[in-house]
Amino acid sequence: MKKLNLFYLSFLAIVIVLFYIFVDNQFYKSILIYIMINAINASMLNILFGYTGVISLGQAAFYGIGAYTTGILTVHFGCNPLLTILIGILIASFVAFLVGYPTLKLHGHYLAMATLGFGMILYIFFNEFSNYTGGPSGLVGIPKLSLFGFGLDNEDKFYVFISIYFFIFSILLELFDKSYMSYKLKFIKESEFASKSFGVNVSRVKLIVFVLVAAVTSLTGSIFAFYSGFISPVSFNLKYSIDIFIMATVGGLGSIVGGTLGATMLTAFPELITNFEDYEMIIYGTLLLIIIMFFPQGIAGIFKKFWGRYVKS
Amino acid sequence: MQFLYSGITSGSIYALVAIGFNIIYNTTGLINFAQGEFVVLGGMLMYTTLTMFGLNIFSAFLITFILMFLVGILFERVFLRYVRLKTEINLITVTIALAIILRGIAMMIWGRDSLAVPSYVEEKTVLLVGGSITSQSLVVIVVCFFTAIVLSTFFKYTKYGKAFRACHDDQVASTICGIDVNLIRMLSFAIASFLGALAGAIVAPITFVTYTDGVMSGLKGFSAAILGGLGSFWGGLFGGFLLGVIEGFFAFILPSGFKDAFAFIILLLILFVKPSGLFGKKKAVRV
Amino acid sequence: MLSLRDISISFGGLKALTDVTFSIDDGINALIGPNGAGKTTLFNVISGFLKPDNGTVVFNNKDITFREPYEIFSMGISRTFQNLNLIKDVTLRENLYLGVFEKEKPSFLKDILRLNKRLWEKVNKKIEDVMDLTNVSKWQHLKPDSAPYGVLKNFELARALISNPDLILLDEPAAGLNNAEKENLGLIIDKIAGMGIRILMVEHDMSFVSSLAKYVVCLNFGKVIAMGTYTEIRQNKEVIKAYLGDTDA
Repeated sequence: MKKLNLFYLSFLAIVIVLFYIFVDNQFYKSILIYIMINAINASMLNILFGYTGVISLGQAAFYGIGAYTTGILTVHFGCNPLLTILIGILIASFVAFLVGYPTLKLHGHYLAMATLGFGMILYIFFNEFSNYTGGPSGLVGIPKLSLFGFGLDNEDKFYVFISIYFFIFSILLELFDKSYMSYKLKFIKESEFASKSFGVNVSRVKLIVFVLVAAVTSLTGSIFAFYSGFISPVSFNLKYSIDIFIMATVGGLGSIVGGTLGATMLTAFPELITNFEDYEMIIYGTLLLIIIMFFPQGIAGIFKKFWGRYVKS
Repeated sequence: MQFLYSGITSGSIYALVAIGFNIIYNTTGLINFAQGEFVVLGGMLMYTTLTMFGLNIFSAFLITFILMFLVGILFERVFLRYVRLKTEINLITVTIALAIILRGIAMMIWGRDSLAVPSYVEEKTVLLVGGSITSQSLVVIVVCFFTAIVLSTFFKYTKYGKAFRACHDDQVASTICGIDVNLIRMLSFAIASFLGALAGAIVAPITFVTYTDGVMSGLKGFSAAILGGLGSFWGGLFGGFLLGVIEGFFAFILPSGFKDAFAFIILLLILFVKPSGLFGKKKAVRV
Repeated sequence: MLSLRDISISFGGLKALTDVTFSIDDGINALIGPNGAGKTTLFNVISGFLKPDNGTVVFNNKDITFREPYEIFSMGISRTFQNLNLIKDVTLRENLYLGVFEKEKPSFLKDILRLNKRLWEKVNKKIEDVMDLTNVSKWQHLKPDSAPYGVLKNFELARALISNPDLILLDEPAAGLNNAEKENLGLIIDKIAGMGIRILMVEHDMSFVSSLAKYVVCLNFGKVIAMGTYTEIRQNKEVIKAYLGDTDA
């Protein structure tokens, strides 16, 4: 059994706590909240893409399923908030099963196209079913979440809540990384043929991973809906799917810090540069291209290499 | 009947894109995620040469096709060739990255608005049984058929065409027999890029062209390719027409906002029922 | 224990296997025949990667013809590959995890929550044992692309062995090895057979086959043309014509 990387976990905890204590600016806090949300989404895609080798270009759709399930059920039907999270997870899992079942059995990357198409369709639905979704102008009035009688009604409280969610998530991720399961997924990524020969039911494992990833992404979507109080299709379009994809890849595929690293960079980046939107696609596309061509282990891989060299000498 | 005519028109475009997917898939085993961007670039370049530079139609087509042929060559020669770890997953990711870059470039150069490309022929409407078809649509259909015939002749009778088919069957054996597999890979990208641009150029006067169109064009072309059987030339052609007609039919009876959803639903259905498509062949597993 | 009956399979117009029928029992068995005779195809049928058009494969009295590869592994058949198929991303030692864990069926929750220390101890013990048997311990922390070819072959053998299978399929175990390595491999295979594990190997090196295999099946153009002990096969006219030639290879 591999040792846990407690250094990384403590580092995360310290950063989150220090930020809470010393940063009073609401804007910076909201950026950190978005970083954590994106980190969770990117890390989940990393498990799917970086570990298992399954490309999905429709993660925003599952994120959207969570957000819209929560939004529609609370706004139009007055459902219990926690129940809507659960329903979102169920719907996302079911849909992931429907999309994944036929495509993950096949050789090649049918799922990549299928998820790309699925994301487009869902985006159309979010826009078209305007009676429920509010259409392009969005859905307003999602109530604040309250947990055990404790209302998350301001930025500070929500920051604490998201931090706890993110930290628990990071611990689970670290546990996963050091388990046999992470080896199994890497075996599948590198050689389906060898994996099958040694007892791995490859298509079943891929499907389970895909559904689990969709479920967590939906959960995060629901939480986002509660945080923002307002959702519109723009947050769940192809661009967001691709952003998540780039975060995971640039951060480091198959590395547990990859998702968080990529999310931090790509979420903070646009805030630092004005007029970023005009060049965003070219910059992100080029970044993705350079990383995948020359540094397939991503920034985490580059760090690791330097670290190894430094420690050896 | 009207949906049939409009379906065949859009089907021609899907067919050209699908054949592009198939050619690359056959020689490299990859799905090229930038195939739809080739369509957009084709339309954009026609707009540039015709409207901005005021060239005549023939030089406009010529310049567009030469440029797109070069883009295809660039794809394979520069970007795919210098990937350090050439796993299937990395190579596909490279095509995804290139698609994003091309989209970004298109937006930067041509802006976010739809561009109108002038019609290539005098606009007329031909009355047919149960509907009518415009002269522009006829151009699209004729060009598609003509291209299909030229391509199939190329694959069947020329030396290079035969080399393409050999690469599909067995790359190692082809290399041993003296076929330059690298050249064939490069040419497959060049031809696919050319086909995409051709589709974009001929459809631009009807649908206009916007920098975001690539995703849908690619997705529908891919659906057509799957419908016909990924890797099958005639399957791609037939899949394109079938998809166009089915889509036209649903657009006829349901709100048009949902039109784009059908290509995808058909894609999922076919993957559920018959993943090898209508014309797919069983291929021996190579270990 | 393993018996094949009337196995036929074709790809397009090519008949790769025609009515292949034979069975093997204890000890070391070999499958020989010229290139393209269908030996690897037959291995892929036995291990579940190809479904025959016709015929049945019976293993330990169970029909496994249409079982999936992962099921066939759990029934006790494991294999090596003609072209090495080690996972490049992890060390050679970690490659052995693939050979052993699925047989142990670890629970997902226990695995994630680190509650299966005993399983890991058991696995590590098995890994040490199998590496001792195949003499590869000193290479265990290398990744596959930095170890010599002969070592990689032994790791593949170790990976096939570690799950304690009933039958191991070896696809050209001696190919690419030098004489010393071959001799060493022969000793290991003998030891494995001595542990009661049955072996079916595809092999071109006839002196290797003759020194180990007690039962030999010869394929040509997808058909069984002879079977018996090595000496019997050696005298079979058809085998000599198709494959062996007049002088000992």
